[in-house]
Amino acid sequence: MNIQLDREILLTVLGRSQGVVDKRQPMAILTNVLLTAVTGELKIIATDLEVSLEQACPAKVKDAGQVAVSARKLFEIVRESSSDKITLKALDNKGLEVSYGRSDFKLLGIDPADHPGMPDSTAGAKNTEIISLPVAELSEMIRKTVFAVSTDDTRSNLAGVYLDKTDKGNGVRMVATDGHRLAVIERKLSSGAIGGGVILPRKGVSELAKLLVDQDGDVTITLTGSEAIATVGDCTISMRLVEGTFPDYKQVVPKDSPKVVTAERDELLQSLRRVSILSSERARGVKFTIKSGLVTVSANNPDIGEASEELVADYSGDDLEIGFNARYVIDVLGVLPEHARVELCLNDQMSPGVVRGDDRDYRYVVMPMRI
Amino acid sequence: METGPAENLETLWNQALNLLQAQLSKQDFDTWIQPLEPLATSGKTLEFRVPNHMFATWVADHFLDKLTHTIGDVAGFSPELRFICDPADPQGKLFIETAEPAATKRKVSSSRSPGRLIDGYEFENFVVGPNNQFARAAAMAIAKQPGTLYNPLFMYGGVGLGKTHLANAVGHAIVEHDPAARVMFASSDGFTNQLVEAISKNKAQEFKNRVRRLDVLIVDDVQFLSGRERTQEEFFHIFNVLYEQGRQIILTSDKAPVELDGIEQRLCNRFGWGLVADIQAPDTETRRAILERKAADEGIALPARVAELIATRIDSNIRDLEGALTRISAFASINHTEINVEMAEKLLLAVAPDAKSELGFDDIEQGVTQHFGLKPEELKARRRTKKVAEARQVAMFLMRRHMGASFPAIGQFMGGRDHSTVVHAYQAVEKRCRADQRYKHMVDTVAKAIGCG
Repeated sequence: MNIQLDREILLTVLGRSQGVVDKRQPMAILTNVLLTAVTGELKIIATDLEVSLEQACPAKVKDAGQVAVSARKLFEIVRESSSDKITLKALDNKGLEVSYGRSDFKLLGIDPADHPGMPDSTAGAKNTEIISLPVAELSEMIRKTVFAVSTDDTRSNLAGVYLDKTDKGNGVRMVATDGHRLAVIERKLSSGAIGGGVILPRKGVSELAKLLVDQDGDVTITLTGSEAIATVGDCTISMRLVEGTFPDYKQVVPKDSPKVVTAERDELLQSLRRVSILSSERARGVKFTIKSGLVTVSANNPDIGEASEELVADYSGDDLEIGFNARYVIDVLGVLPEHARVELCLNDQMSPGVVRGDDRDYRYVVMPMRI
Repeated sequence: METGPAENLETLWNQALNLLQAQLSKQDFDTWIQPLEPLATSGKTLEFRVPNHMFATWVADHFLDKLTHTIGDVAGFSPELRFICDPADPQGKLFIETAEPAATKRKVSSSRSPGRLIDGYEFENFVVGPNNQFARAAAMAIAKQPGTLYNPLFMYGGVGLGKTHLANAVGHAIVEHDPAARVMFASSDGFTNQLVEAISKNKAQEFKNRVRRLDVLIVDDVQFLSGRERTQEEFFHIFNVLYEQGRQIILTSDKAPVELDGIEQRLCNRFGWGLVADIQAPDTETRRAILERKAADEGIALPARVAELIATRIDSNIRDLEGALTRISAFASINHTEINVEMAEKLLLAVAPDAKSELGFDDIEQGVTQHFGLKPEELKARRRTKKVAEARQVAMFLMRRHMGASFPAIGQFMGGRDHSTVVHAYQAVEKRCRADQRYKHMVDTVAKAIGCG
C-alpha cells in the first residue's frame, strides 16, 4: 500500500473511528483500524464487534493494499500534522509508515487478516426492513432521547433506544428510558416502514449521531433482525441489536394530566441550574411549589444549606407541591428549543409528570421523587 | 397511548387502606399496613416500599391474602403485590422491572449451572446430632431471615461432615420460601473459574454485576481461595457490596477463619463478622442415625446390629459412612441375600480395618501416659498438678472422641470421677484445640500414636 490523502478528511474519518474501537483492550486487535486502499479511495474499518464502522475517503492510490494499526496512534499522528497531505505506506513487517512534511513515523501493525472487518450482515437475515429518513430528523431524534438511556449495565434491555412503529401513519418512534424518566419522539419516514420494535445499543446510536453531523440527505437504516445498519454518505455503521424486551412504554405515558404549568424554558432551566447547586449530590432533589401564576423551585440540603427561586408561570389550578430530580428536568430542557415556552403537565405528587414544548410529537415523562 | 395506572395509585391505596382498617386490629393496621408505601404499578403488579426485609417477610406471610383481596376489590382485578425495602431511593419508578431482561436471562441460565444449588441437600434429610446441632440451628435461622440475623454464616469442619449439605439446605429453603430469590452456590474453584472466564472474555463487570445482585451467595470451601490474590480481591469487593445491602453470605471451609492460611487478613476478618459455626465429626449415635436415615431413604433393609457395627467401625466422616452402607447394600443385592452382621463384618474389613474396635480405655491410658511421661495410676489419682490435669483431660477427650465411650463410663475408668467432670474436660480440650494450634497438634499427635488419629 502506498497512498496519499488529504489531512482534513483523514482526520475526520479517524476521529469518528476513535469512538468505535475498543478502548478496554481485551483483544488488542480491536484497538486497531483496518485500512484498505483500493482504486481511488481508502476504506477505514473500526469495530469492537458490537458496533462496526466503515468509512471511505478519497486517496491517490499508488499501490493498493491493507494494513491494521493502532487507531489511537494513527489519529494522534494525523492530528498533530501541519501539512495538508499525508502519505501512508505499508511496511514489510505489517507496519505502516506515515509521513508528512519532514516528519516520518513507523507504526507497528498487526496482520490485517486478523482484523474482523465489517460483520457479514446479509448472512442469515430473513426479514430485512429498510427505512430511510432525513439526516436532520434522525439526528434530532437521537439528541432528544439518548440522554435518557439507562447507564446501568445490568439492565441491558434499557441500554439502548427503542425503535418502534407509530400508532398511525408511516412513522418511526424512538424511545429511551432508565426507569425514572422516559423520552419519546415521533417523526415521519421518507420511505419504508418499520415492523416490530428493536433496541439499538447506546454506543451504536451515539456513534451514529456523530456521523450525522454536517451531512445532508437521508439516512438509510437496514434492520436484519440481529443488526441495524445505517448508511449515510460514505459511512456505514453496523450495530448489534440489544436483546431483551423493552418495557411497555405506552403504559407509562399519562394520557391526561390536568395540572398544566407553562413557563419560559430558559428561565426554568437557569433556575434549576442555580437551585440544584444546593440539592443533595446523589438524588438532586428539587421541590416545585406551584401556586396560581407562580412556581417556586427550592432545594434543601441539611449538610450544605438551602436555595429557592421564584418564577412566573401560567397556572390556574389547585396548589401543588412536587419533587423532581433536577437533573432529569435539566436534561430535557437542554434539548428543548431555546426562547420558547415549555409545559409541565402534572397530576399529583406521586404520578409521573410530562414535559413538552410546542412539538407535540416529543414527550418526556419523569417520575417525581419524595422530598 | 393508554393512561398509566400510576395516576390512580394513591387513590386506590387510600380506598384500600380504609377497607383494611375496618378488617384488621388497630395494632396490626398501625404496625404493618399503615407504613406500606405504594411505589409504582405496572399492569397488575403493585410495588410497595417497606422499611426493611423482615417487615416485607412478615407482611407477605401474614397479610398478603388480605391485601390482595382488598386491593383486588378496589381495583377490580387481582393484583400481584411486591414489597421492596429500599429506603435510600426516594426517586419514583416509571415501571416495575419484570424479572430479568431476556438477554441477560439467557446468558445467566446457560452459565448458571455452575452456580446452582445441589439437589437433594435439604434440611429434611440432614441428620442432627450434637456435633452439628449448632451449625444446623444457625442455618435454619438464616433460612428464615436471610441477611438479617447472622451475616456471613461461616461453617467449618472436616471433609464429609455436612457443611455443603447445610449450606445448600439454606439455599433451598430460601428459594422455597421465595422462588424469586437469587441464590448462587459456588465452590471456591467454581467461583474462581467463573471469574477467570469472565475476565478473559472481558465480561468481568457483567459477572460482578450478576453476583452483586444476588440475594444469597454461598461459597463452598473458601480455603481454596488461598493464594488466589486476584480472586480474593474481587471476592472482597463482592463481599462488601452484598454485606452492605444485607444480602446473605454463606461460607464453608475446613478451618476456622483465624486459621485460614494464604487468605488476606481483611477477608478473614470479614469471615468472622457474622456467626462462625463448627461441625464436628458425628458421634456414634449420630452416625447410626445417619445410616438409618440413608437406609430408609434408599429402601435398604438395615438391621440394627449392622447399623451399630458400621457406625462404630467407621468414624471418619459421613461420606465414608455412606460409602460403607452402599457397599454392603450393593453386595447384598447382587448376591440376593439379606444384610447381616457377618457379611458386613467381612466387607468392612476392607474399608476400615478392625483396629478401632479393639481400641479400649487401656490403649488410650497407655498412649497418654506415655506421651506425658506419667504412670498410669497418676492419671487416675487425685493429684492435680498442671501436667497431670492436662493429661487427664486429653485422655478423657480421646476416650470420648475416638472410642465413643459414654461420659459416665469414662468417669468410672478414670478413677471414679463424676461424669460432669468428663464433660467439662471434653469441652475444655475441644475449645482449646480450636483456639490453640499447637495444643491441637499435640492432641492429634497423641491420638495418632494410639492409632486413632
